[in-house]
Amino acid sequence: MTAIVWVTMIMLGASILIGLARIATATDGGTRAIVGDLVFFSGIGIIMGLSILDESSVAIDAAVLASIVGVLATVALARIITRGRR
Amino acid sequence: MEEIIMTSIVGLLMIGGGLFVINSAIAMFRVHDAYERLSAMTPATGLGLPLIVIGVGVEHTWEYRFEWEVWGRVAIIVTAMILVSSVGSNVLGRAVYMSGAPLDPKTMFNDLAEEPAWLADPSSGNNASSEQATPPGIDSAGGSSDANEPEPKTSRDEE
Repeated sequence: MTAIVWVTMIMLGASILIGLARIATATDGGTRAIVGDLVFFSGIGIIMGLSILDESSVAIDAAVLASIVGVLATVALARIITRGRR
Repeated sequence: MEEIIMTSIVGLLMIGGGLFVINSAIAMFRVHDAYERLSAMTPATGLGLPLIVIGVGVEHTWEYRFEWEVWGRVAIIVTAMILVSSVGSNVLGRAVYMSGAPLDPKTMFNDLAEEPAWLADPSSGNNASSEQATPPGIDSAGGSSDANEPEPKTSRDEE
C-alpha cells in the first residue's frame, strides 16, 4: 500500500518540477500565474499523501485550510499581473 | 482476497488522480497560449486532486475504522477545491486579458477588442445615427451614449 502512495507522491512532485520549469521559461505574466496555481494545488496533494505515510490524521486539517486559502493566493496573483487594478 | 480488492480500489483512485495532474502539467508546455493554459488546468484541480483525496479517505477507513471526522474533512476539501478553482479561473481569465497577454495567431474570435454594434458612434453627431444605434432598453433622449461606452483595456479607474 505504501508503494501506491509513493508513486502518487512522485507524480505530484514531478508535476511541481515541470511547473517550475514552465514558470522559469515563460514569456508573459499570465502563464506564470496560472502555473503557480497548479503548483499550489499539487502541494496540497503531497500533504495528503504524507498523512498516510506518517500515520497521522492531523495532516488532513492542514489540507482543509490550504484548499480554502487557495482562493486568496489565486486572487492575489491576478491582482499582481494587472498591476493593482481590478 | 479482500486485500486485493481494497488495494486495487485505492490504487485506481490515487494513481488515476496522479495521472490527471501530471497530464495537466505536461499540457502547459504543449499549448501556445495563456488562455488555453487556463483551460488545461481544470482537470488537475477539478478531478485529479479530488480523486487523490478520496483515495486517502478510503485508505484511512480501511486501515483504522470509519470516522466521521475524516470523511467530513474530505467532503470539505472536495467542495472547496471545485469552488476555488472555478472562482480562480474566472478571476485569472479576466486579469490575463487586462494585462495584455498575446493571443494565439490561430484564434478566430476576439469580440472584446472591437466595439459592439449597438453602440452609437460619438464622433458622428447625435442626429443621424442615434435612432439606429441605441442600446436596447435605454431611453434615447440624447446624451446617454457617451456615459456607457465600454473600453476593453483601460477602464474602471474610479472603482
